[in-house]
Amino acid sequence: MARYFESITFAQIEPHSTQRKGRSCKDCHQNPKVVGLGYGEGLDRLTRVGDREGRALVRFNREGLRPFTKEELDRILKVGLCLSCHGERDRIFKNWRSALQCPELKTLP
Amino acid sequence: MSLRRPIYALSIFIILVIFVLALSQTFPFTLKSFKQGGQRREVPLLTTGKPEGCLFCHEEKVEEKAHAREMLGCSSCHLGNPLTVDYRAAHKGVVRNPSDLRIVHRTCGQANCHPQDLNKVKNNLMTTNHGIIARLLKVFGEEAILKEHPNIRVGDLYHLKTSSLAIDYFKKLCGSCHLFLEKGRLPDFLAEKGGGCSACHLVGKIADLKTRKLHPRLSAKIPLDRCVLCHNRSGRIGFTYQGLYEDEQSGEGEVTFIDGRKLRRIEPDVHYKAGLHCIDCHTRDEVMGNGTFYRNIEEALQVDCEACHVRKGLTKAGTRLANIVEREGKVFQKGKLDEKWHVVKAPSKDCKDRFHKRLSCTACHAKYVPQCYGCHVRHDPRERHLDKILGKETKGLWEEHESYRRIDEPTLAVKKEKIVVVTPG
Repeated sequence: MARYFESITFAQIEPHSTQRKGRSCKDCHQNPKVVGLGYGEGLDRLTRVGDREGRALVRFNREGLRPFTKEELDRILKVGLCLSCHGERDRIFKNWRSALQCPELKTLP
Repeated sequence: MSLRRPIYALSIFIILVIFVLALSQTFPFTLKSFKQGGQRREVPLLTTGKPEGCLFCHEEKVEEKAHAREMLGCSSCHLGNPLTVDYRAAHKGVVRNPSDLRIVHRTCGQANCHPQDLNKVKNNLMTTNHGIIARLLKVFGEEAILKEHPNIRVGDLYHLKTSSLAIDYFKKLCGSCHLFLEKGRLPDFLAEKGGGCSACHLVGKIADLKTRKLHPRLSAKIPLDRCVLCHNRSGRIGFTYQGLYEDEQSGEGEVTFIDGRKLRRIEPDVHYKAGLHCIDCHTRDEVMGNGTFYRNIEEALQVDCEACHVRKGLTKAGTRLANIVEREGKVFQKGKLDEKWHVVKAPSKDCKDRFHKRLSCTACHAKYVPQCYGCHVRHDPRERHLDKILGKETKGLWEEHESYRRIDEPTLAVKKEKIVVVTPG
């Protein structure tokens, strides 16, 4: 009798692909894949490590390893919205406060 | 007891006579010399003064000082009997690979040589593979075996009788990458792997032994390709570091790896571009072990980016890296292979900004990582598969398939308030 089981595990890794220049702000703050929410296309289910609420969707190989929480995702992605208009070196990022309100986008928390 | 009493003096004399007679039987050239082809030849002596009969016939040279032919001869490493010229008696008990971990206590690890390294290497993760075996047992839901054998290691698998699928998987798909492997027992490129100390330290070609009478030498300067012989699967750091990427199903690429896989060129790691090999960062305690039985690689690692770039040569374990020095406020690293001084750059202003304190260096600076999605494994109990531990085919074939592989920006996750890179693994 055929048996089947699923065990998608994500492992912590030092990729050994170090580059002199770090990632740009947009690389992380505007990228759902990087923050663990997946590509959002065909590969979506396989590339998600957590959901928007911060619940883990995969196993991890080390104790204490987890996806970003809802609050962390809120903070990271909010900066991403600002980066659509403001340049990476804009002073709003240097003097960043989480309570900052966007005059153009009043619905942004 | 006094020697003046004739009975004691006589017995000592008799013992001496027996000893000399016995010695002349097993070692006929001790007193004079050895006749070969009608010519008298002097007994070969090592620099220590020890006679080494092997050198009557064996002319192979070793191109290094510590293990030179004149220093150690043959029998110090390969065993056998150097005190006879009888072919059979001389070769009785000779070992082809002295550093095989089953006999290494009599060879490399003997009292006059490297006894302190025995316990270190035997408990090293590259010898035990404990982390891999334990993880597989967990993935397959066979924790009961782990409870019964909490310190399970590769060496145990040679005699452990079990119907475990995880262990069978390990023996067939992972079992060729460990130091306990008998060198030369497996076919093709796998014959190069394993063999204890020589897995890493042996430099040169076995073929040169016959054609050029040149014995491979032993070196502490391990080049990167020795490490990549094993570190080329799963996270594939050995490839990525050099700027190589293995496409899905290993189909395309301008570089062919020794096992036939095709690799595509990508941007290498900056440290590779600077000429650094694996051992320039990874310490002796990490790669050879420090005697501690570690549960996984994370526990065993002592070096991180900060060890050089922030702490100026101090490892996580609090030990000092001998190849890192500070001069006039600047930090330099001496290459272990190229012996050049490399400047160790300090982190930029951006690395210290107050919003990104939780980021690990690699979260920003590692631009890509191979990511396999939809990897699945099939076990067919009817077919046969080469068991790398037993060295023969046994029932049960494991087939690996993957749906997608991407060399792409890494996904991030949180580990104890540090943001790190993760990949399917």
